[in-house]
Amino acid sequence: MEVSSRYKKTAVFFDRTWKFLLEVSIIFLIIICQTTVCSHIEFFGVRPSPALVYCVCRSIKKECFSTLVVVAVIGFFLDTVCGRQWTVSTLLYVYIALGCMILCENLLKRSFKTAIFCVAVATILYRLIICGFCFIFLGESGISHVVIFEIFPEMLYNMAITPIIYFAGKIYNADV
Amino acid sequence: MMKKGYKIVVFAIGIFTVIMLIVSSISHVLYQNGKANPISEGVQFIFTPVQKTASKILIGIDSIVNKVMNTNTSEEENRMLKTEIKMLRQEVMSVEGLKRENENLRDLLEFKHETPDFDMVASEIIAKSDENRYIFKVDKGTDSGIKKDDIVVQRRMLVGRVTETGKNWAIVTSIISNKNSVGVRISRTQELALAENDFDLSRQCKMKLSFLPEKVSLVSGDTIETSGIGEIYPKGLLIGTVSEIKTDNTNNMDYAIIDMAVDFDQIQEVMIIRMKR
Repeated sequence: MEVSSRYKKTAVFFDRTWKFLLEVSIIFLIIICQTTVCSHIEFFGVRPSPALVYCVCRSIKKECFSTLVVVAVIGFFLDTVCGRQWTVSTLLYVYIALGCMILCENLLKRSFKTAIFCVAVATILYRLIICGFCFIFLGESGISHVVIFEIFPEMLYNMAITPIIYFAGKIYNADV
Repeated sequence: MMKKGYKIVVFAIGIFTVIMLIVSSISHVLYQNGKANPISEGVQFIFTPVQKTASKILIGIDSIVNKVMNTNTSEEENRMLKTEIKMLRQEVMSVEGLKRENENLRDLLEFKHETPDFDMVASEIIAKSDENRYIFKVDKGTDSGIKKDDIVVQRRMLVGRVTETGKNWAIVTSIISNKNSVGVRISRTQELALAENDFDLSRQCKMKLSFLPEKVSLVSGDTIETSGIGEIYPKGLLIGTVSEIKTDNTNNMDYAIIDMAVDFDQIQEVMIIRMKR
């Protein structure tokens, strides 16, 4: 009886450690992809945003507090690695993840189609908010140009990479 | 979680938002000299070596893919001369590479002779900002004597300046990113003007040349270089060439469009001038 309980505890410990390491590796991989790999796979100046896609897919598949923590960590690392002192990505990623969770809780099914839809909406929202900040703080204009030549193509690119991240998450059981 | 603890989660995120804003405000105020804060330094310390390795691997893969695609094209064009074309192409590629390298080094040497006060460090771009591709991260930092406001060049062309530094990394904000304007001189006439960023133009790797003298004799193809006024950028660094001259209808002032000399989309290696301030 005692041996069995000890065995169970050890198994649980190893399981948790494995899941934690997997989570850390995924975060690391996502940041490297976003900052280094993406600039090598851009088409006509448009780069995908695997971090945003991962955050959306994860919040659709797994509705738990840990998702918000992981999303915040990814956003924070992105802000830090990209040299931004204002934690824009951290906050926006958390809001987007929470929005996806609420949508899936009340209106939409947790499915691949929902993931595609949410990625499209999240990309538009994220980029529009960034443009809004640029407009307010830097006085930049030309929003129509940005929407047509940057946001829309990026949305399509993000939608194209969604299946890879969504199904990779399923294979590796990333929703720890 | 959402049904039961919905309010708690929203409340927690509200508190998180306030904390993050306070922390980032404090960080913004305390670290205005361009030096990274300890958290940023720690995170960058972990990520920089991985980004550097990943960047090298990806550049390698890019060149292999390019070579394979080139080889395939020549095979389709002329199967009979496949081996010969392949060999010739490789030879040409290596010769061209050497020629380019030689030109780069010659330019750098010339530049160094002309500006003996400048102390330069070669550096590689290892990452680009996810929001603004004209903000780069390079693999040299305070360890190599790099500090905030050091100038970044490619051959004799101005790239930008260092805006943040860490132990083994630095963030470079290029001249065509959002916030920059540069005091410039028209090389042919020596007249002064200001190269400014325009939101739409910067996306096409161009800048706006404004505050032109009233009777300016600017022509398409004129080269624009830094004037040295303002004490940020040294004198004589190439910015680009004039491609168009236009008139602003709102104030009836002439301005020009500058095609940047640096190819910001293809840039991989830069030189950082350690400024003596």
